[in-house]
Amino acid sequence: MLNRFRLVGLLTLVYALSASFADLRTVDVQFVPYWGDKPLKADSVYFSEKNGDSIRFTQFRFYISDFILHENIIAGAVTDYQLIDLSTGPSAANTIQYHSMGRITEFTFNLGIDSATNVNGVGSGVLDPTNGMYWAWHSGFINLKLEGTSPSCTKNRGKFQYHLGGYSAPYNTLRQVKLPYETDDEHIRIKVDLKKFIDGVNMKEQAVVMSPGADAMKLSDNAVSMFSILK
Amino acid sequence: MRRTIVIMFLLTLVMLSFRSLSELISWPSYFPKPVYNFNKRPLTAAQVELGRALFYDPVLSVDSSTSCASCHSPYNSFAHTDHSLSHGIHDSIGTRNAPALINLAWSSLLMWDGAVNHIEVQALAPITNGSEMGEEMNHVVLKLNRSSRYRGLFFTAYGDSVATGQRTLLALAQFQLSLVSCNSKYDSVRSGFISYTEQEQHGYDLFLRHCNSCHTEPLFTNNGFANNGLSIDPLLNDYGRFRITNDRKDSMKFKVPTLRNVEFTYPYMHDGRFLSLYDVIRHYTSGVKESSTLALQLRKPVELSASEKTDLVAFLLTLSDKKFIFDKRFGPPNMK
Repeated sequence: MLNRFRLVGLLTLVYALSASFADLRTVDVQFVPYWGDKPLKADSVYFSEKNGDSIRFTQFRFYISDFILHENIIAGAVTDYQLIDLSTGPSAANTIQYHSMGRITEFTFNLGIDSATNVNGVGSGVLDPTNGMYWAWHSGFINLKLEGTSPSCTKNRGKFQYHLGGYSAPYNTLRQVKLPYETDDEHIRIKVDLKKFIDGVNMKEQAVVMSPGADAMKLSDNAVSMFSILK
Repeated sequence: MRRTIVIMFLLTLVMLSFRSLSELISWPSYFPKPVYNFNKRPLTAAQVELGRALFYDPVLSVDSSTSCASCHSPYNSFAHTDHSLSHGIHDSIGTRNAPALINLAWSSLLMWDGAVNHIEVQALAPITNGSEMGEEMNHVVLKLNRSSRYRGLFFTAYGDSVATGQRTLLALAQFQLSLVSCNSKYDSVRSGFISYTEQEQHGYDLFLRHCNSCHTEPLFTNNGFANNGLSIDPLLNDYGRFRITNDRKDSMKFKVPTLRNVEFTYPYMHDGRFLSLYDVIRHYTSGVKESSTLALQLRKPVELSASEKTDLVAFLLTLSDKKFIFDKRFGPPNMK
């Protein structure tokens, strides 16, 4: 994973080199929640055949940062932290403006908040604790929050709560998502398939994960598998 | 005339021996470098004042019953005399003793188990704890934005009257960072202005031999975590830092508290089980329980005679800073 400072430096260099002879382009990115092959509808009930759970989602939010689009080298990036809220439907990420020298070959972004920011005191904007994405009893950001109801969660009054976070070794839950995709399209839609996440969880036994540790690590790997490019 | 010059010279020496960021905070030259980065976020008078208003205001709790000062009283060096465990809304009782809030700019991890990694996010813990203030941060901010008094204080502090979570927490941190205690007899002796009594000096020698490796001077804590041989209270089942790190090596370890102002911060230990300094010393001489994570320094019992115990206590009392305790800048603000 690229160090943030190096990334910003590298980008400045690339911009300086390319600005004179490359085309200025913008790319819009939208995250779209899915259940399998269908867009997710708010307040609908879904069924996971794998574990026999019927599920309704009430909240689905996650942080991303260092959203980078690559041509053959890094072409453009938004380094800002963004809080993507898919609780009620698709959500746009910040537009990326960059100097193009060819075709996009890959998108990468970090899912979560890096450890340096986790130990840096109180944040503002999307990082403000009033967003409900910061733990109080144990310092650290919640990288991803997925909540809902399911009759399978008998041990937690029919509710599931997955709050994934933890920034220090051996339980650092920051993940990089890599999406190889060759395109000239200026509108990129990223599918976020909740079925992939839910199929990998045993809701009957594990309705709640709310602290850093081995479970959060496993579910964070699981979360990465949700993302793909909608073609 | 000559005397005036001498006094002026001595005063200059005193001034030079203090590190100072502004009139808001200063410390003696023998203190280490603060952990908090004051260059990144300097203290400002208006932010400290806002933080002080918030610190003493029960608006931070869900039923407007409990303020930070409810369990952190200025007259107890911001600890809570007579209460072994902290208490909060609806007469609920917490699980830990309220520690003194002093010299926090030198503290890296906060809380008895080090759960909080930065002073700016510390207040989230008591504000949202169901046995303390039972509130939610976004509701606190909503209440503050409805108050004309706070809109004024936020405007003075930030040039914008809107309360946010960050601004609220930052102000609370700034007030608590301003709570520096460095005017005890120990400090006067260390600066060469006065001397210990013979008894205090003997107590200091004993302190250096038996206590200083964890309660390291001049802050009287090494900011570390240690198992000091307390038995587990079966009603609390508190294994300290283990809950945070999930590492067995951290079982029964708690933060080493500062001993500055220890005269005012009874009862002692993370669960307030000891009422007096003599109880504490008796624990170290004859009450330490063996376990795999017990601090190495305590594997062999500390041996002290009755008179040595008295001398040690005499030294501990030289850590009292009455100027700090009665400093009006740290007390409740005048409500308008």
